[in-house]
Amino acid sequence: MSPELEIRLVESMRPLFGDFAESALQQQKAKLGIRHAAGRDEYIRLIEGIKTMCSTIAGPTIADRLYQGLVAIVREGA
Amino acid sequence: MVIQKVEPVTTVPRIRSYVYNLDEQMEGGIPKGFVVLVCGRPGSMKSSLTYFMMHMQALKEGRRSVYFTLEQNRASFARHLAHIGLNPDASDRVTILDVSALRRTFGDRGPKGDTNWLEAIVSQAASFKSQYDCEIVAIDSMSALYSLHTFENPRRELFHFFEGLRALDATIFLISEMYDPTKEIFARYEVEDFLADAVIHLKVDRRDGGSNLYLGIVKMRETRHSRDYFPLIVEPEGFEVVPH
Repeated sequence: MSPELEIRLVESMRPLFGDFAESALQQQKAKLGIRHAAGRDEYIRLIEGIKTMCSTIAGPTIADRLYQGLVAIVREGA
Repeated sequence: MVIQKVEPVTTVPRIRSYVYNLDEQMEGGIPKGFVVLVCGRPGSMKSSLTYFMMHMQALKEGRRSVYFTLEQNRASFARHLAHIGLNPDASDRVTILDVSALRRTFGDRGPKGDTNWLEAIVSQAASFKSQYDCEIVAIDSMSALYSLHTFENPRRELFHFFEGLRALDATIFLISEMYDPTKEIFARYEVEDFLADAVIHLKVDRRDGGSNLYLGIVKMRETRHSRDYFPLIVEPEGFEVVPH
């Protein structure tokens, strides 16, 4: 996973996860066994997991908005 | 007693509360950008009233807002709101952000073990505002926030906390729990009401086996406001104060 892409994902998560944005991303990566050089499908699985977490924290509507933003970042970066 | 309507004397942009009969008592609403302390004892409907104002602002004026809940989880709060006729799903313009879930998942000390929660919550609110364009922020509650922060100099740290909130350029509601029934101490360190631009006090009067709610505007800068305590009624249609 490229560090630049990861930074962009974390920044996009910050409004909802605050200081825990990076921890949330790392937790999802660990859960899915993602380490380095992940492919696009793995990124999508990763952000789907983040969307589920976000839904608990902030509700489905905003989780969907976050998801769309993360998908756009992955598409640009992949 | 004859109630005197408070006539507007300024043109400050204001946020209407949509509490029936209340806005007339404060020149039409709360000045935009104010930091407002909403305080009361347990069961005085601080959270419900605050959410109601945000909900109505979303429905009537399209304003976006975010409600940080630090202890009550989102699902429980949503069920409570539904119970009093407020459906959080009715508008996607009010986000209930469950910081309690983050705390449960990741712990209270933060990713580096030394999170300054006063700064972290302001920073998250700024980040949310920037990305989702919200105009109203609520933090529920001050006591919960204080439980996460080790104060060395409360007055100084709270001064900077309030200044940080003001810099958000949003209207802020801080929910403050009052513990001592014999004293009118509006928040833990007794400086918050000086630092806030406005103080709305919800009183519970328990007697003869019943309980009645009252709302008073203790302080509102730049506003000619009533200093009376008004009976507060919660109906399925919304909140209402009853002028004397």
